[in-house]
Formats: sequence, structure tokens, C-alpha cells
Amino acid sequence: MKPMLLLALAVALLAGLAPLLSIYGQHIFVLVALYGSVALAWNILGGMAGQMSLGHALFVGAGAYVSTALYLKYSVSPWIGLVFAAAIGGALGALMGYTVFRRKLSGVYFALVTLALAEMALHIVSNVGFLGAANGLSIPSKPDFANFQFGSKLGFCYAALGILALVSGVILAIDRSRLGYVFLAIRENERAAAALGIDVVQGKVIAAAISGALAALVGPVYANYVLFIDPESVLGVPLSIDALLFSFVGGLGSLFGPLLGAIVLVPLTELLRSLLGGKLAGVHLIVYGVLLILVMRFAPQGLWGLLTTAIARRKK
Amino acid sequence: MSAPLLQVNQVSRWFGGLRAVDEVSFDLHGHEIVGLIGPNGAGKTTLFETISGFIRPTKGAIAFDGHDITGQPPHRLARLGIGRTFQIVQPFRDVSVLENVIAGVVGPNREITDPRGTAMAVLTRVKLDHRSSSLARNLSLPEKKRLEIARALAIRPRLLLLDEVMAGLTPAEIDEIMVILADIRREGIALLIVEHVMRAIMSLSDRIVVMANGRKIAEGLPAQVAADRSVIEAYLGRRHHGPA
Repeated sequence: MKPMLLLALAVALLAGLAPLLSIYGQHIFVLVALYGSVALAWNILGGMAGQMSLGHALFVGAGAYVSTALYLKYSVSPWIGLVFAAAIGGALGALMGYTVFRRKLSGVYFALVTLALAEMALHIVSNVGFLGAANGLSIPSKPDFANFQFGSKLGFCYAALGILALVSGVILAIDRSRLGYVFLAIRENERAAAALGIDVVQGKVIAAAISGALAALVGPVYANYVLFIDPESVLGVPLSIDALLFSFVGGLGSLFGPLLGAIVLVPLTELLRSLLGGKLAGVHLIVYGVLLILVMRFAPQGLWGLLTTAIARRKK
Repeated sequence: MSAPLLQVNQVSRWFGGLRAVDEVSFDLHGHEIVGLIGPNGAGKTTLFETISGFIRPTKGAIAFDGHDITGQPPHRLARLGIGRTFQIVQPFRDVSVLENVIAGVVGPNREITDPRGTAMAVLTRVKLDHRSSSLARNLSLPEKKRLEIARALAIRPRLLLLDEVMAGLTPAEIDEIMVILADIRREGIALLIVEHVMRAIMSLSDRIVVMANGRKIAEGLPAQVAADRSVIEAYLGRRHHGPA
């Protein structure tokens, strides 16, 4: 139970920290927790099970659109929307995994299929009037707990932290179970995995389903935080790339490296944005690129790897 | 006599016009060690791959423990109790030796109360327990060969298929593996061994199956097979065509 206890402690600590932050600090807090959650969810499939997705925006977007449409059109509380989001995300992940992995397509083929599916979803939603088409959907501001609108940034800090804690808990549970070894074996060597009695296709489908469900949970929280979603923001390629990039910089396949990636890169993006004041849009991507090259060159295990080796060295 | 544990019945595997395995039949009983030998290109590895489910036979049938297993995927065969090693070692390189073996312990999806302890016990059996926390990639070749055996043992097989676990080892290292294999058979696990190291396979095997050009050309006790004319021809014929 030790890692779970540690997680509970970390969550409690963060919950205590949130009220002490400035409004801007709380905004960063929410963004880090949400992006961190997406990256951690991505890492279950991409890092732990070794199947790179370039389309995780599909899950976030599906979650955001499902809960927002249910709320706006049928007055279903986003709290219930969260459940629907996870279900749709999980189903999409399983379906995507099953169609691709059953045909023994892996690696770059899987990455391309995920990219294509997310882009298809973006273009479909952009043309469906019911979902606001390319203009997106606005959520009217009606602060109420039942509406998942908390009237303060602090409320969203807790909501985002809740998602982050859930995702982290699932990751710890996987790591300690048979499933953790199934993912490890599939990532490391599929032939050897099969020889050990591991159903490789099933394992990958499960990874995709869990990863999709957890990423989808972020959608409703994000939608209700900014009170607006459109295809570009929740289904676009940049979001998919962010999930992958945070994981690479933080430490691919390590349990919590992707969160570390978000902790470093999200505030950096915000800082650059405020420094440049809207000029030079996209300059953060150049910074990402440079950072990625530096990490690949000097710390292929990512920031998490740097951190753990530094700790190990101090212990010696 | 009890029913055979493994029955290979008229199994063929063609690759286009090449008959890599051509109507091969043999039986293997529980507690038995059968050696599969033959010159390079005889079809040993292809036959091995069909028995472990990685290649489907073109024709013929394979039965394990009285049940037809022809064409079943490898993970299901592993769950039935067929373990295998790979000729070219396939460790999970970037995780520890212990984690490699734990993956084998939990792989077949049974209830295991203490996977870590079970894996450690398996590592002790192949004398690799002192390396449990090393990354698999950092092992020497003889150690990697032993890790292959450990991982296959971890699924608790009733039949273990070993594909050249002694290739590339020194005589002393081969002796170590032979001791380990003798221990394994004493625990009641049947072995099918593909091997080029004649000294080892002749002394370990209860029976030997000899293949050449995809066909079974001889079967019998090691001494019988060693004196068999067609076997000698198959091996010596190769020597005439090039360096041994």
C-alpha cells in the first residue's frame, strides 16, 4: 500500500497548496493538472504498453463534446457527463485498438491510424450543426456545483486535481497488477510475451481502452473551465502532440514522468505567451522542439530519469 | 503405456515451393527428453515454431495431452503448458531480470499469490538469482540463455521446447546448462531440445529425432541414431560441400 499512501499524501499536499496560490497561479495549477492527466493517460498506451498514439485529442474531444452536448441539449449534469465521457473514451479506445491491433499493425501504422481518426473526428464535428459545427459550443456561465461550475478557480483546482489523482491511482493499480507485466512484456517484445501466455492483441486493446477512458475524463473538466469548446481546441493535432511531447520530455514509460513533463512545459508555455504578449504566435513550439532535442541528446530517459538517477546518486 | 504428451502427426509446412517441413511425425511422452537434430536447413526450427504456435502447419495435426492444438495461437499453447525459448535470445531488455521472470509467472493468467517469490525461486533453479536486480540487457550471453530458460519455466510448463540454448557457449557453460536441464526433467517436465552440440544432446536425450531436408530420416536411441547410415550420410554429405 505504500505507493498508494504516497499518492494520497501528495494529493492532500497539493490540495492544501492550491488556496495559497494567486489567481494566476491557480490557473496554471488547473492547466498543469489537466495536461498532466492527458499525458499520463497517453503514457499508459504509449509508454507502458509501447503503442504510440498521435491522436489522443480524439478522446479528450469526445469527452468534452459528450458532456457538453448532454448538458446543453438535455440538461444532463456534467457530473454524469463525466461518466459518459469515460465510457465513450474507453469504447473508442477499444474499438480503435481492436481494428488496428487485430491486423497486427503496430508502430508507425498505429500512430498514423490514430492521427487519421482524430483528424476525421475533427472534420466531422466541424460539420455537425448539432455540435455547433466549426463555431463550437459555448456553455452559459451559471455557477453551481451541480453544473460543474464552481464560481472560483479554486473549485477547478480541486476538480482537476481529482482527475489527476484518479488517473494516477489507476496507473499505480496497473503497475502493481498482472496488467502491468502484460504491458511491459508487450512493450519490450511481443513474440516473447506471447510465448509466456500473454494475449498480445487483448493486452493492447485493454491499454487503449483504459488510456482512452482516462483521457476522455479531462474533456468535461476543461470544457466547463473555459466554458467554450470548438473542434480545434479539443480535437486538434496540437493537443495530441502535447500529450506525446510531455511524455517524451518527462520520461516515456516511467509511471509519472509525463506529469513532470507537464509541470515543466505548461508553465513555460504560459510564461512565453505572457512575455511575448500575443506576438510571435507559436514560438512555444520552437522552444518545445529545442527542449525535445536537448532531452533526447542528454537525458533519453527524460526528466524523470534525470531525477531518479540524481536521487540514486545522493543515496550512495 | 500412457498416451503421449505431444503427438506430431504428418505435419508439413511449405513456404511457396519449399517444403521446410515435410510430413514429419513423432511422439513425446511426459518425463521424456527428445532431441531434435539435423544439419542446418533441415527444418528443425520451422517444426519447432509450428509446435509452439508461431507458425501454422500447412498440413497435419499436433495434439497436446490428447487435445488437438493445431493452429492455436502461442499464448493459448503457453497457457496449456507449452513453454519455449528463442534461438536468438529475446529478453525484455530494459527491465530487471526478476521482472522478466515475474512476467512469465503471471503471463498465463492464473492466480499466483506471491509472483515475486515464485520468480525468485525460478531464478535460483537456473542459478541466476544473484543477477535478479540487473537489467536484462547487461547480462552475458550464457546468462541470457539461462534467463530464457527461467522465463519459460516460470509459466510452469509441462513441456519445454528449447531452441539451441547451448549455441555459442563454452564447454564449461554447456555443462552448467546440462545440469540445469537434468534438474528440470527430474521435476517431471518433458523436454524437446533442438541442438547442434552433439555431446550434450546425445547424453541428455532419451530418444533422438533426426531431420534432413524437411523430412524425418531417423528416430531412436542416441546410440542407434549415431550408427544410422542415413544420419551419417546427412551429416557427412554436408561436410563434402563446404567447411564444417
